[in-house]
Amino acid sequence: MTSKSASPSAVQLNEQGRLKHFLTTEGLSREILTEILDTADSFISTQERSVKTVPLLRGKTVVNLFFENSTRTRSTFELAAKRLSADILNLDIARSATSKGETLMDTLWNLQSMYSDMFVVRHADSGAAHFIAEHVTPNVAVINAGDGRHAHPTQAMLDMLTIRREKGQFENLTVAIIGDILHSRVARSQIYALKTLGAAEVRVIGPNTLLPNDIEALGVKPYNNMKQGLKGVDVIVTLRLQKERMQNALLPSESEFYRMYGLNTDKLAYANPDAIVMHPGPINRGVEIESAVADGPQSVILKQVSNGIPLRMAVMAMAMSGQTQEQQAQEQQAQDEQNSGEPA
Amino acid sequence: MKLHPQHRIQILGGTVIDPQSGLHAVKDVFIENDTIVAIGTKPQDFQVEKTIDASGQLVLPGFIDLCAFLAEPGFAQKGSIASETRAAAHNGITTLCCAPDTKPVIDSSAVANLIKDRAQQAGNVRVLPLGALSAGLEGEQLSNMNGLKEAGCVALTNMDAPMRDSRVVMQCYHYAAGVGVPVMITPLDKALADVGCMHQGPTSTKLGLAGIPESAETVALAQHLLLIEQTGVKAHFNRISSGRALAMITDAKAKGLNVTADVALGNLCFIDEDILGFDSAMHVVPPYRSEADRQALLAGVNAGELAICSNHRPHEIAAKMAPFAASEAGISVLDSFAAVLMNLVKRGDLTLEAAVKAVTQTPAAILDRELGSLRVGALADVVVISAEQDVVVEKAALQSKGTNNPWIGQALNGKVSATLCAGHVVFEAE
Amino acid sequence: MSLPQPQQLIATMANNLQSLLSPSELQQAIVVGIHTGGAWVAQALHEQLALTTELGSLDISFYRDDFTQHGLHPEVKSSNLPDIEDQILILVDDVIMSGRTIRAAMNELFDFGRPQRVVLAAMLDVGQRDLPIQPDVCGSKLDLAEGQRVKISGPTPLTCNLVTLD
Repeated sequence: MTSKSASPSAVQLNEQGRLKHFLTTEGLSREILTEILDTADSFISTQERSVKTVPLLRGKTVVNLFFENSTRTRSTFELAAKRLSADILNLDIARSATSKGETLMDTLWNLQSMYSDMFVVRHADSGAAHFIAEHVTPNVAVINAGDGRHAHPTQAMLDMLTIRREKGQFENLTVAIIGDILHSRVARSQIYALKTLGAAEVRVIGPNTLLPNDIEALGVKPYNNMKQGLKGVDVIVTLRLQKERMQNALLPSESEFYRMYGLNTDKLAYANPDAIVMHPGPINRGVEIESAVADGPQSVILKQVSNGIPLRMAVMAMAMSGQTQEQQAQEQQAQDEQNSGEPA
Repeated sequence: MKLHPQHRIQILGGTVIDPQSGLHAVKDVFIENDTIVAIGTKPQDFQVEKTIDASGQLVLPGFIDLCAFLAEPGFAQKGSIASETRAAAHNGITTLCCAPDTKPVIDSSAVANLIKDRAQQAGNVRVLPLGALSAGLEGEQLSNMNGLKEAGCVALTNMDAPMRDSRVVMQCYHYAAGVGVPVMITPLDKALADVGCMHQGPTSTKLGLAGIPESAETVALAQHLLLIEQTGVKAHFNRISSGRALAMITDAKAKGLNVTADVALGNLCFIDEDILGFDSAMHVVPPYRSEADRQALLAGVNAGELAICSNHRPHEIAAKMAPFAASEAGISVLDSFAAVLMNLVKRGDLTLEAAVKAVTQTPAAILDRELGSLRVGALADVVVISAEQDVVVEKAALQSKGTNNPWIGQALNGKVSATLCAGHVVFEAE
Repeated sequence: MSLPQPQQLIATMANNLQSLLSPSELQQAIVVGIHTGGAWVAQALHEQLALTTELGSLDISFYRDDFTQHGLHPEVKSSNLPDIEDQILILVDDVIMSGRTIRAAMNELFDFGRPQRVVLAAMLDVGQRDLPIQPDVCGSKLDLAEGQRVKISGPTPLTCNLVTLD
């Protein structure tokens, strides 16, 4: 007796099937994901000229709502909003402030009354962005900048953009993601995007304690061994290892992790010779990746960073567009209803 | 709610189902004061004061709910004894065991007596308090078990609060066995459960939500079974959630251990996949597990192994208006209890006999009380219910203060026409 | 009504440009076509004039004034321009009507740099301006009936047709 069938993407799309929130890569069609990449490509060319700004979101207000600290991601969203000519407001809400009595709901309702058009949200609870989009402020475009362990769709898409620009297509690619998959929202979003865009094979490599028990349910092959896991791989994604993992009986030590899973030149050789190396950042040199590899010829880490702004410009533009379309349609419907009620 | 002091009531033309006596036939039922005086033939000189027409409907023993949170004392915005018991009466429940995690906790006779008084004032259903197993439910020290037993607590439980360690558990059981009061246990290993908020499985992996593995229930269950055996305490497993746990309990019974178990109604209806989309309405304790677990639990009910309780836990709107893990756990069940139960029968998940038994004969035996049966001489706890009629529970018609009822607006099968508690009509449909 | 055909129109435009600009100016000029039809016309014009300068193209999706009404077009292409600083540009579109496309294109051009001069060339001028913008060079003027539009197909062969909106 299911209460309702919930597609993870239903809430992201308006009636015309256009993006009006960007919450997760899960459930989005290949067409929409490709449109995001194509639009991002157009924005890349705008970033290469002297005036990097376009007037697309002029007059719109974007609010950065970061409930978790992150200078890097927040700055890229800020810059992306400015490059779209939007007005941007940064709100760093430490979690303790909300736990002092004002609920997440109330915080957002107060903001909504300031005529915000878009929220960029990072929150420690999985599902926070969905919650906001569905229950609190459905008329404000919500961009998920990372929610708990669930999703980090803009990071995943800028990774896809980077892969496409380096490799041209997804069909024949074998991709391996290495590290703490269990706690990684980036990995989850990457997996959905890769599968939808048609990657041949997606693998995860790590110790059992850092791989979710049911990861195969996402269509992914788990490996404990780097030599086996990297064989035939075209794209390697290394994930950041957080120090806390050593405290919670998940890992014995950084040195053991580095010995087994650290991507150094020797291990890189297990993969295809033209394999590219990626990392969502920030990098822990000597823990998940060796400096020689991070700075080496196969690394595209810096390109990932520079692709971040055009990709975020693209999703912000698309989501704002979808919201605007929906509001237009609602106003039109209200008008029609009013008109049909008028006496002949 | 006015009590109708009718002394002689007849219930005519209904299909009487009483699992305890094996009766399943169209019979008239005759009640005088608080007792069933006849089934079938009207007694001589029976001056009827009230007639209830039960033609085309079922006449069942009043339902017994082994676990419901009534929110009073301490949680006025979520519910009250009056409102929640009224919801229960509307749904055919005549006896209800109320959970001790109120504020203050039911760990003193004062609180137990307060609850009994409030319930009596409300006059809806018979409320039997469950007392706290440990002082303050803190899991550290023994509660005043004898005092609680004398104040009317039918069993003691630590609900969902953890016990400090297995030694404290053993001490509590040992003491309880001596006092002669039964214990109710919801097995959960807190360390394995960690910060989990839903069943650990493919769905929790997809949603990025921390999961409670099945082993959190079964590891604790294994421990409890051995301690029960060691101490000889009378024990009942309350709200089990996995097929594996049920299998372990069935095994233990086969080997001679006298234990019983129940399942929450919600766990017979919902599974972990219902949480897709981060629906905080589905955030409950114990969690909804896999479809295989749900099927195993249904089979357990059909085999007569399990009672069904409501696990009712009402909440105000704000409690659920948060991202999943931050929302408060619990669903409001009492307003839909009868309809949902009958709906499971209609869908073929449960047989009618098994469903009725699970809310009458089985819980009565667990409580070791003369309840849950329609026999001559029995207490007149009766519910008249139409299994043919659809009922849609609308928000405006809710009796419970809790808005977190997941069945609002759904057409379910099973409309209660009348509920009698000890011969008093506590609910009658228009 | 018979529509003049593109080959004829391109030839007319090329002639007019040769009158408007000196031979040396024309040789250095950068032709910029507005996607999608304008880019096809620009290509044809570039060939007709036998120019050796790089051909530019503009996608004005990010500069349109109707974002609030219609949102973002699903198929955004990139703008590709050589260095336009201090250059003579020939901005080309297939059909000029309200003038808003040209307004957006001009705004975008100036975000790339500061050209010396911009000459506007339109293949067809169907009137109905909303803005005070006129082409310097035009293939032909055309009056449309109510509900009529011009549909350009390309790139080869480049054709124009009249269509009636429902």
